[in-house]
Amino acid sequence: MTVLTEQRRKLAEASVRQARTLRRNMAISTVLGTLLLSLMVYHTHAWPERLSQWLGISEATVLAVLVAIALLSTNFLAGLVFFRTSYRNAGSLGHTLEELDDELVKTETQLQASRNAMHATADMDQAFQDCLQQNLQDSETSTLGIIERTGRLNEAAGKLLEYLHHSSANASTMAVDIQQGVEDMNKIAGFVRELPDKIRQDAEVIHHILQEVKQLEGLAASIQQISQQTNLLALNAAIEAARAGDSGRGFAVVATEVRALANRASTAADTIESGLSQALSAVERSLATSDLGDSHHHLEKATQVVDAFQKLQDSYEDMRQFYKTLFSVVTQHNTELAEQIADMLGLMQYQDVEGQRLTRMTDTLAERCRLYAGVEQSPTGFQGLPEDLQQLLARYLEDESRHSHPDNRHQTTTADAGPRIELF
Amino acid sequence: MPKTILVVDDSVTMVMSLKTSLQIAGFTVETAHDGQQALDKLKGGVKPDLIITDINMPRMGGIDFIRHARALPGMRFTPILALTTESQQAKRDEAKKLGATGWLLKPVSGTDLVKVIKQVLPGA
Repeated sequence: MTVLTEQRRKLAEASVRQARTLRRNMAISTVLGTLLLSLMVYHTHAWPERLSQWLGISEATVLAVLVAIALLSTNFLAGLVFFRTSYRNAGSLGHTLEELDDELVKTETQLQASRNAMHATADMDQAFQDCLQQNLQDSETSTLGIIERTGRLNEAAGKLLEYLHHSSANASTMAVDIQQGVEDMNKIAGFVRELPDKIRQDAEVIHHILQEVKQLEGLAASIQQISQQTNLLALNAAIEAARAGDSGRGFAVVATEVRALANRASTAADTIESGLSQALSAVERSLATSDLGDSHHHLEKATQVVDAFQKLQDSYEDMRQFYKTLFSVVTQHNTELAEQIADMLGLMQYQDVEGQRLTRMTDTLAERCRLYAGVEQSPTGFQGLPEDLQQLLARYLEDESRHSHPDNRHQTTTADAGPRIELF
Repeated sequence: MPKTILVVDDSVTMVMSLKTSLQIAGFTVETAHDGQQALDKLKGGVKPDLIITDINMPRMGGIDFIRHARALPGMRFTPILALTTESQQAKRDEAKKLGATGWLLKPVSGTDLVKVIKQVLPGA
């Protein structure tokens, strides 16, 4: 454009110069012709008159013809000079026009090159747009994936919380059962602690009763013995009274009475012994009955102890199973949570993939800027730019094709025929 | 004793996500942001049981890092996994030739990554 402006400027200047030369020449010729005619008229004022006489025409006509000849001559001279100048200017103008034509051809070539460069730039921008679109989609996919996994994490955490709440309720129930078992065990422990003293006290009471009964048994035996001896004495007294005859008759009556008394004493002694035996039997039966009662009581207590132990063992087994299940469930949940978190973190790799893609694009853009900047220094201008841009685009697309794309992550192989995970 | 994994990547996001994933899976993790830094760590006494490296990195890329790492004493049989966006077969072949253990294309899910690690690192 600068060259064209220069050519236009040269052309305009040449035209102006030509016009000025013509004007100057016309003015100078007119002034010179007028001066020449004036001098001729001034110094030779007689010859117009002689010429009019010689030609047979009036002097005024001669003067008019002279003025006309003078003006025609000067204008002819001016025209001659003008044509010579114009011829020279026309040559210059033609040269300028030829240069202008060359410049126009060059400009047209540059314009065509710049149009091609624009097309190449548009193709490149389309590739960049595809890249950015891909990045946008990947970012969206990544974000959606993270949101989905966050939801799953929240769901898993909620399930775990719900399970723990349920487990807490079960644990409370089991704790109540165990507390009840502990209280039963405390009662049993108290009973077992008091049992030796109770047994000792019962034994002492029984022993005391038996001693007293045994003492009563000895007393009945003494009465029995006294009764037998009294009866024996009464029998001897009756024999002696019979031997004394009538004088012993009264004594015989006494002996009979004594004997009757001895028999009654013996009967009383038997009655006492019998009573004591019955009393002893009754005590023994009572003791036996008391022992039986205690045995029942003890049996009941023992049964309670067994039940309490069974309950305690059941509670312990429940608690053990409960914690085993709880540990298993929590471990499973924890593993699932860890996997979800690991997968979610894996989605972060999208950012790296997208970052690398943007880096490749910005590198290409920087190279394109260098090519644009190089046009100013290049003698050929835009001419080499389209080819350079197309080569740059081809390199960019080739480089892009050598890198993995996240949207193919579910495929086992890539376009380059390589598996996504390959162990050598 | 937990196994130690050296993660080499110039992307901070990658390093942090891999580190967290691997720590959750029970590994101890060392990190480096390029091949040169990773090599300095190995020379400085870090003895990883496994190395995961990117390929395209500043200063020293993954291919050169594998070459130099394999030349270090005690590093001949340490598994080295390349985790990259580079899918060019020529690069895979070069890495394989230099002694890489595997080639993984980003992105790789945490579950898949741990599976591969357990495959190449018995007892992990």
